[in-house]
Amino acid sequence: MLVLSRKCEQSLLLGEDITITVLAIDGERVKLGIEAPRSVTVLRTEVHDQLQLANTDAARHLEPSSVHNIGTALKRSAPSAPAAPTENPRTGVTGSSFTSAGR
Amino acid sequence: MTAPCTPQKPAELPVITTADPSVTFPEGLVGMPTWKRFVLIVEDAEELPVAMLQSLDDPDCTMLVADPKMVEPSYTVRLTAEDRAALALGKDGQPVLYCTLSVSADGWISANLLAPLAINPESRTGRQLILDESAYTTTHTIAQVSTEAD
Repeated sequence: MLVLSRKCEQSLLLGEDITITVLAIDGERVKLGIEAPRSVTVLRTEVHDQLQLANTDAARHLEPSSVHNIGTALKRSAPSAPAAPTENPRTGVTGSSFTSAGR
Repeated sequence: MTAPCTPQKPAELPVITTADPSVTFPEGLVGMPTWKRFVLIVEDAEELPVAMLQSLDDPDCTMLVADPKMVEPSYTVRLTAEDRAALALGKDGQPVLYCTLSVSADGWISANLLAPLAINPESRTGRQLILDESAYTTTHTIAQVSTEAD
């Protein structure tokens, strides 16, 4: 691991287009400013690790019988009275916009 | 273009109805960058509201997916401009959304609502969204698997 020391308001570059700036230091907490192209995903490591774990967990336990059992359990637990899909102007996508079968 | 407001029963899975079952996630999934190419296997969306997303890059990876609206009727996502660009959706195109499912050792099924899979049904391009400013979790508990016969 490369180790660098930086003071408040000093920054460093990762490649040509990612800048990380130390904005504030308060006890154990360091506030960082990150400038990167929008195409670069910036994630807290613990969130990344949690999502990675969720993906590897989802990729396990699949036999035909378990698919049937899981599907059946889900169908039983699904809300029985569907509310009419409503468009929420604040959020972009609603479930009503799914491509439905048989188009 | 299909009508955007076709009511949909929550117990049915939204399916992508083209002959080609392949779906490509150019960036892979979060933490799993080699999981790029999948086939979407929908056996009977009306009978069972789940589909299988089987990796062509990793033979050990087959994920069970469901409609997040079935899990959480109010489920909504906000696509960023980058999401739209990655999915080649244009300004008004809408993705099909799936959430992956996991089953714990004691049989509880949970859904990853924090990072749903969005798929452009036209180009069959996918991206795992990260709703990290939402209250959704990766382990939204839904139900316990019953082993009794129907």
